[in-house]
Amino acid sequence: MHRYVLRRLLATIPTLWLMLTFVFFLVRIVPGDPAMAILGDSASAEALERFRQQMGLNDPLPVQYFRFLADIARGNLGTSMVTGLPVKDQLMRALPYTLELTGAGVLIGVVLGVPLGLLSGLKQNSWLDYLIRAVSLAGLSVPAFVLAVVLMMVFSVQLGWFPVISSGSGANLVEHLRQLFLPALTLGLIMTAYVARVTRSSFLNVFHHDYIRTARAKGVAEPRVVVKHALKNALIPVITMVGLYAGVLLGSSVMTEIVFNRPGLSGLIVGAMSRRDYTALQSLLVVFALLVVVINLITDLMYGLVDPRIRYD
Amino acid sequence: MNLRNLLTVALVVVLVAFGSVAAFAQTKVLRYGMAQADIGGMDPHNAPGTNDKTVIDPMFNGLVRFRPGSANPEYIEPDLAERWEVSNDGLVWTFYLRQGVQFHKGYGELTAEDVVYSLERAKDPQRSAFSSDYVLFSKIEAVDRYTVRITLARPVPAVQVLGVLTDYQGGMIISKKAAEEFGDNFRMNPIGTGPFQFAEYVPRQYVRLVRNEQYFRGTPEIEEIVYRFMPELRSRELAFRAGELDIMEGQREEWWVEDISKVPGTIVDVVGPGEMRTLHFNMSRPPFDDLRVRQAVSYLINRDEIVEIIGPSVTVPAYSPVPPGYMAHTDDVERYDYNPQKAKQLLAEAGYPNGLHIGPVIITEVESLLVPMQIIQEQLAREGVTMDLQVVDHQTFHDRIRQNMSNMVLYGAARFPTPDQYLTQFYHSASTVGKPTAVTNFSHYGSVIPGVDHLIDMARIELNQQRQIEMWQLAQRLITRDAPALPVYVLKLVFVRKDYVDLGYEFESTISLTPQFNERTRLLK
Amino acid sequence: MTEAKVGLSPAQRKLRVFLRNRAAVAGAVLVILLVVVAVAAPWLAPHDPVRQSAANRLKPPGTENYLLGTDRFGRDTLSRVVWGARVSLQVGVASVLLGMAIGVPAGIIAGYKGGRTDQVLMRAVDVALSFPTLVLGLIIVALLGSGVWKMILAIALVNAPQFARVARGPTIALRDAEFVQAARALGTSDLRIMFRHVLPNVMPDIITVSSLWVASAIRTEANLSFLGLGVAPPTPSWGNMVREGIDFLGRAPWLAIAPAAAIFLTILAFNMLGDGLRDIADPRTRGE
Repeated sequence: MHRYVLRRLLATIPTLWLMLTFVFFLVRIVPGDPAMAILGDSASAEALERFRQQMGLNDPLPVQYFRFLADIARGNLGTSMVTGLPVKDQLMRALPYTLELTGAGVLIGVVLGVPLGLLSGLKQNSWLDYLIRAVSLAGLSVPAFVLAVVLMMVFSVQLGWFPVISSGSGANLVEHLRQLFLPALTLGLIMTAYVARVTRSSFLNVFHHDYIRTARAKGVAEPRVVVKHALKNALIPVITMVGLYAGVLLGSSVMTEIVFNRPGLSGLIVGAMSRRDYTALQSLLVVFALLVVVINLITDLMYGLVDPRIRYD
Repeated sequence: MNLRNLLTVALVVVLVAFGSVAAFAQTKVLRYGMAQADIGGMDPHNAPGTNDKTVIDPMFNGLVRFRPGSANPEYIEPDLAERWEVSNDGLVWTFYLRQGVQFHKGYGELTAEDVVYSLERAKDPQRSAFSSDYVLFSKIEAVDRYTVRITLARPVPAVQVLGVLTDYQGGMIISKKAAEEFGDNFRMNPIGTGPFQFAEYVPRQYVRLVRNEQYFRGTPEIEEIVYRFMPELRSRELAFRAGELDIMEGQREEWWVEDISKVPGTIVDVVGPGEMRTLHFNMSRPPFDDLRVRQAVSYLINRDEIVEIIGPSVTVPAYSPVPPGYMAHTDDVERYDYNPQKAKQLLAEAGYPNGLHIGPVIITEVESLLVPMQIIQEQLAREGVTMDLQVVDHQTFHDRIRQNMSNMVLYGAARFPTPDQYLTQFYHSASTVGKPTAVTNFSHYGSVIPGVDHLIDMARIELNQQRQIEMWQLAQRLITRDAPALPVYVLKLVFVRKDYVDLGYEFESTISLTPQFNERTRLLK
Repeated sequence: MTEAKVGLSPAQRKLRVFLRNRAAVAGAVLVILLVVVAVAAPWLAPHDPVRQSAANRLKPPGTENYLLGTDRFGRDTLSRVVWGARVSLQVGVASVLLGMAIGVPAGIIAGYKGGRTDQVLMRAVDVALSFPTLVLGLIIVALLGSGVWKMILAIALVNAPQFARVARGPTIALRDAEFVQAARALGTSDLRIMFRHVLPNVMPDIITVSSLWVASAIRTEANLSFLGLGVAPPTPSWGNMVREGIDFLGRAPWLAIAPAAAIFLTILAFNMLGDGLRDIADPRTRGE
């Protein structure tokens, strides 16, 4: 197990290098001039040129590339071209918000989704099953930004329970949670829909397996069959899904962050993209990628916990 | 820890937390919802984005200023300079500074040194985006601690000197000491003399300013301003409705203005100068190298319909290449009013009797340009004139239109309210895209066909104001005759505030495209 | 197994399984209906979907001639929803099929072969997956420009690695299953095992998920529209309609509700159909 983790981490080094290279060239083939994005449309040619010079944008690409690699290797994320602030500072400020939002979203998704999915599967083809499935599909149909706006209209403007500006700058824990609630609910509801569906389908899948039949034939009571055998096996695809979705959620939190004015990582990335802030963008994407790799690793390890048949050696 | 203990602890935590909410002292904070996702910096000489100006505005003063609430250059009044004198030949301008004005955060008293440093900096193309405004300033010197002398290379009309010395762009006076201390980082450490001083910047979140207790016109009533970056209209509006914002940038469309006006306790300010939307025809290649095609397309665009859709209360139809309300603006130009018959005839003459395909047209995703472009697209399509409309993100848009990739460019701009900047940037051959001196001449007017360079250049230095105005008006007439571009309409600015926000002045127009907050601005609650 | 089924071919038996699932049949009917609407849009839509009418702006639903009201340009919402079906179905279905065609074989190969092959493929998947979907989409759109097929390509490329991951999980579990080992003992080639034995067992999971991905693809289009980069105007897609409608939620809620309802209906249809297909594809289902 430890060796496996170590090997996986070592294996991420080539992955990371691939990412770095990919990111570096990707951000540079996108049209747009960072100098103008930052200095504005009436900036003089001299001012633009000086900016490019200063930011090293006029250096040959290989020079920029190796400088970037060397910086990253030393853990230096560079300085944002737009704000002149260290990317690391911005990142450190944004990261907790994104992690807490994603974490809360996944939590809501699992807490609501797994029981709903199981219930739906157990009562297959009952009205409850149909209801749960229809509601979860509705959850899948609504884009996050629509859900966010509707939640705001109801809970912030009509009822006044939660703030619209959920920037997480609350002075205390209660205020902090109050601000987290609506954005987390937005992501969580979408996640719930996915989790419920996958839980149901994989539960049904496992339920038809022969060993469950055998267990049932042996006269083991129904609830115990469900818990002991079916649940364990049914959880593998659910974990894959949750793992996969934690990553996707991390990325799709953009909408939620923008609408709720939250200072998270994905908003930072989209902002750097729209300003063509190369230095910030490439570093942020690398960090983001690293996060997803870690989530994937955790997902893979979770299989082993749930299903002892899978070994890491 | 057993469950009961856990619950007790949790209860205590909650109580303490709620307690501290109640204890949170009420400060007089003005919360502003900005329509942008972030700012680029706060260096007034180097941050020309509209959104940046909003934040910069209350931090700096100029030698002179526009009267608060007005962008009319006729009402320029003293600011840091108490008074000024002009030599008989019009070449030497002497400004006498107010004494005892303090820079923010203990950067000392404002002196002539700071003014000289600021203006030299604004004039330096390496350090300023507005250097071209100061090319005629041949010498800027400190006569004594409180006197600044500016010598011009050529005499020019007063408004052109005072205009670039206002509290706007390059005219803003910064602290020499701070600028030298911070260097390039000045944009994150702005030090001025204005009513509010910089306190905190959180990227993509907000900028917080606190009042300058020593402001020379008196301590401001408001203690803090928080400029929150909220690019999504819907969230801005909901935050405003929920009472989390006191003032916000509105949607510049009439349906929205009508809706928000119905919210109790709301004041809507629809103000000038507004940005003029002009449709530039790319004359560097077919089909717009043909005057008849440019005229035909101009006749096919139905201004009245555009104004009706976007809303008459927020738009003003425009005919001249110089926006209405600017000095020397005239509507006595050739008017291209909607006339499909004439257009068809012109198209047939130009060799397109069965309709025309314009080719690639690139437009930004930003609504205030995308919405009118969609209307234009449809109006042309009705008469068989089609285009490949490509919607791209704002930066790609700016990049591609400057690489001459779009056959028509719809562009919106507000400039200093005299014709010089507007005509120079959009119609002078030197500003043609692709040239090293390029600004925003997307039509190639003056480059591919003779233009009005000489009129623009002569008017800039014409001392006789009557003759200067005549030249500018002639330029407007010649441009409309050649039809390199079609002025469509001016889009006014929309701001929405709670009725307890008292700006302290009559709000008609704003040079910095933002409501100004000063020592008189109050929260009446 | 009952007597009556003995004479049926496997295909007939599967059809029977499918037809017995009422929800699946309803889903199939709905999907067919949607396709018909998309194809017959020019005849079904009462108005030209891009035709503006300054005099008829923001008319509420039920206004004469405008069953679902009009938008800020005076365009007919119903006609736009009908025409939007074309774009949205294309984007949803084509991008998922394309993504599946790339991702599933990769996932099965990785899971089945294990070892180095698995390492390499999964690393590549990690790289691709580790970019925020939306940013990757933004970059692709910035590079290619916006257009329906470019959008499909962008979404397919973004989704393919996810299919690979979903396919790989069950493959690992199947690798050591008795019937696979038996096939291997009989000297069946790896390729044959993968496609004859593994694929059918993986497909139920994939199909269940793929109907979700159709939903996700339609939503991704909406999200790109949210950032202003969806299908270019004036072409209506449900995504860009919802995006435009969101600003009017207070004033003219039908502008967002109509396309959102269309998205819901489509996703509902695909899911009911997907469940039925899962039952067919699952060799264990015996029509009980």
